[in-house]
Amino acid sequence: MASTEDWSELLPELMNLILDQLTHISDHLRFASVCSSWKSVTINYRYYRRHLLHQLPLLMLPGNDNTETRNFFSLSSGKCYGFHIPEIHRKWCCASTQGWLITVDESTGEIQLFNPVSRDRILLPSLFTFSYPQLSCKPGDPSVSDYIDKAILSSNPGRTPDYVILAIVTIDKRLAYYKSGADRWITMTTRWTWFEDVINYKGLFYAVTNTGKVLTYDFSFEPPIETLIICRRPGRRTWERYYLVESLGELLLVRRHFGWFENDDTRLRIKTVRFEVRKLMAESRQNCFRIMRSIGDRILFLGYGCSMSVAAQDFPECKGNSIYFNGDYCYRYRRFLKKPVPYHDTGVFNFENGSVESFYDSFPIWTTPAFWITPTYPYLLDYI
Amino acid sequence: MSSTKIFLKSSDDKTFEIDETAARASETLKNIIDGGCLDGVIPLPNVSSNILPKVIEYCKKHGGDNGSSKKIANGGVDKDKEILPDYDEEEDKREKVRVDELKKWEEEYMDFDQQVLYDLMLAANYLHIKGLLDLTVEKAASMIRGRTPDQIRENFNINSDFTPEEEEEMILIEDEWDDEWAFD
Repeated sequence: MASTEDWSELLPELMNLILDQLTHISDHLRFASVCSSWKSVTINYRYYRRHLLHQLPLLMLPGNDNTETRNFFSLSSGKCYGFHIPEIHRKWCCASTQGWLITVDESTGEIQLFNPVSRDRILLPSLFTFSYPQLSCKPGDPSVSDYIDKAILSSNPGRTPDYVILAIVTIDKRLAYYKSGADRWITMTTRWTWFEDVINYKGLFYAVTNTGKVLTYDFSFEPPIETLIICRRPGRRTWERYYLVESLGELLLVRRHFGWFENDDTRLRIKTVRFEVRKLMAESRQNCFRIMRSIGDRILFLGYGCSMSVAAQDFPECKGNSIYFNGDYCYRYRRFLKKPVPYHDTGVFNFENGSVESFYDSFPIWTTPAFWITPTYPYLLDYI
Repeated sequence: MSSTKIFLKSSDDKTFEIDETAARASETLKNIIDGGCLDGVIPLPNVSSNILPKVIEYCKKHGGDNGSSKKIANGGVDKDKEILPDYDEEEDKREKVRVDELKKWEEEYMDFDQQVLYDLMLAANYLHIKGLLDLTVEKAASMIRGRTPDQIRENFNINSDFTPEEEEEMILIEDEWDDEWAFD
């Protein structure tokens, strides 16, 4: 009985239903590699249902001068994976958004945007072009290595030549920006003490200060227009740290509380005690943040690297209503501490029972940070 | 009422009999029945006689409901709990047995090769049998999940039509994936 079945010509609507059942992006990539009609179905699917595809961030672990392999910890499998990336060997790295890294060559001051998956590189103006503070170009100067703390993109440079990078820079935690095509970075002068986090939310940059004040920056003007939208600290002052993260189209202000703990080796260590989450209520005439008792089905990823939110139902391997965090305040609080504090404080906070647990026991104690990175996939799936 | 018979004619002109209640598992047939077109035979030009008995088997099993075992398990049991404050434990047990039995049936029912899967999926789509469509789509997805493109092609009897250059690019991406990024 001859069958007429030809899977390469299956109705696109049925192909879409099959792709709906494939929640891992790697399966989409392989699906697209089967034949040209499946490839075009995948590309169309991705175009129409882009929002359905999620991926867990990986924790990119600190590098080692002796090897060109960087390790990445995957929450999905609970394992570390080595990835040979000679391009970032012996360079200071920090995560940017949309799968890009910022790399800084400590000896030359060269700054690059680097996509570890596509291996695309974009050269940016060097460290010595920052308008303030100007560096003296001494190799090995500690302020060179961790000059850039966090850098957020307005759009994916792989897709558009027109983008803005807003960065938190230097030990003073100032804001600096770079507009594509410019020959320098511009450090902004503001009256705020220091900045803790920046995010691109609905096409506008938001920044939060060390006292929980929230500002927006509109880079369609030169100089950019700064607007203070929240001027009150949420709650009483504690030992705290602020993050901005987008979740389900809402802007969340997350406050992380720290405490001192005595460790086995009787050294005092900083540890995360709990988190508070507030969401921006923008519909009222006056902006305010409303505290949330729970984040429901969401999982947040915070700390060093790019913050993000995913739905727990897409990732049964992770706990819902939880915040996964890494240790990112070593550098931030270094100005107050005489000795370097290791980046040991990774874990997961659960809203339901208020617990802080480890998500991996075997992490060593690092002296440079680990950070979240969400690889983005080039070629087939990402070029629309 | 349940004994009313309906006749379905396959694309290759073979006629099959089905109870009306069973036929109502298909939205398409339900609309035809409700439209009062019950006299003669319902022609199904898109469904061959190879696959029609398989479709009828599914419809018989599922009668009026359109859900798969998963949906019944979620919807049925929970709803009972909600409506009855102290629901009948025996009833709950019976429900569980029924769902388990249905799952087992589905497992055996779904044991066929990709040729049948293809035709059955098309038939379920054409006849709007939601539960059957879900089952076939899930089976196809399970034949893709975690597989390499080569394995997928083999599973579905597809030949790659990429040019050598495209093929090479694909292999590069795949290799990168397999070596470094395929974590799941």
